Amino acid sequence: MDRFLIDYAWANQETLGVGVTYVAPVEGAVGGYVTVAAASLQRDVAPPPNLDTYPRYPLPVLRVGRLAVDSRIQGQGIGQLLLQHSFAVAWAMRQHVGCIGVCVDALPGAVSFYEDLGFVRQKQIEGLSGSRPRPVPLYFSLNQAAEFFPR
Amino acid sequence: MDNDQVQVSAYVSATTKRRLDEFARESGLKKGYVIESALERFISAAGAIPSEYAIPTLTVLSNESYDEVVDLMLHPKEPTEALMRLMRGEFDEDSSPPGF
Repeated sequence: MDRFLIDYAWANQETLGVGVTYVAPVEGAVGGYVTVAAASLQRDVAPPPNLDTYPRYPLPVLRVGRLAVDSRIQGQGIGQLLLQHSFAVAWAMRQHVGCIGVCVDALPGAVSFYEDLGFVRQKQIEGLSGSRPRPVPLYFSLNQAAEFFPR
Repeated sequence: MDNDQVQVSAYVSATTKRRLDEFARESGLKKGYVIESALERFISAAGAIPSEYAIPTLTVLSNESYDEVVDLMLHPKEPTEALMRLMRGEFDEDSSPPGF
């Protein structure tokens, strides 16, 4: 089990209120988990004033801070189930308070998994995750999955 | 700190005891106050979330990346095959996020 889940997931959720962790139980144990948090994206420099329709405020997103599966039971779709659940949380967030997409800090070896789903790489100026190895920031536009959710 | 007080006893090194005595004498603070303050700080620091485990909630993007996010919002792409399989619950056994 990784240290984040044991030592910090509950502190993030209950003490700080900055994230929620969903656990996939498998035969009475933790098969995988995903931690998500409401977040926002901001432009480095304000857009040109002639762009009237351009958003000039931080854009709300759901950030997947952690997503991991027990290595002994990988390949059974648990991680994909957790990501599917994350999309559902993002869609619910969109309907209640607004959300345009999902951000993921992907480990370098998992980037292709996310890119196949439609995630695109981002260049972040601030707000980089401090985890190691250095993750690759990715973004998924929720509009791309709109047809899978009820309007 | 609350007003209810209890007594604790613990063994510390002679050096620590000497430093505590010196600090209390020079600062004018009661030793109990110094010890309790030190414990409070220690426990708070131990419970703090290291940066590698914190989830940043504000991200500043490069202008190009932010513009791409806006473009995807205004002009959404069609779902990829992998996305359609994911949303239908047809999970690909060969692709998976990292393990722990």
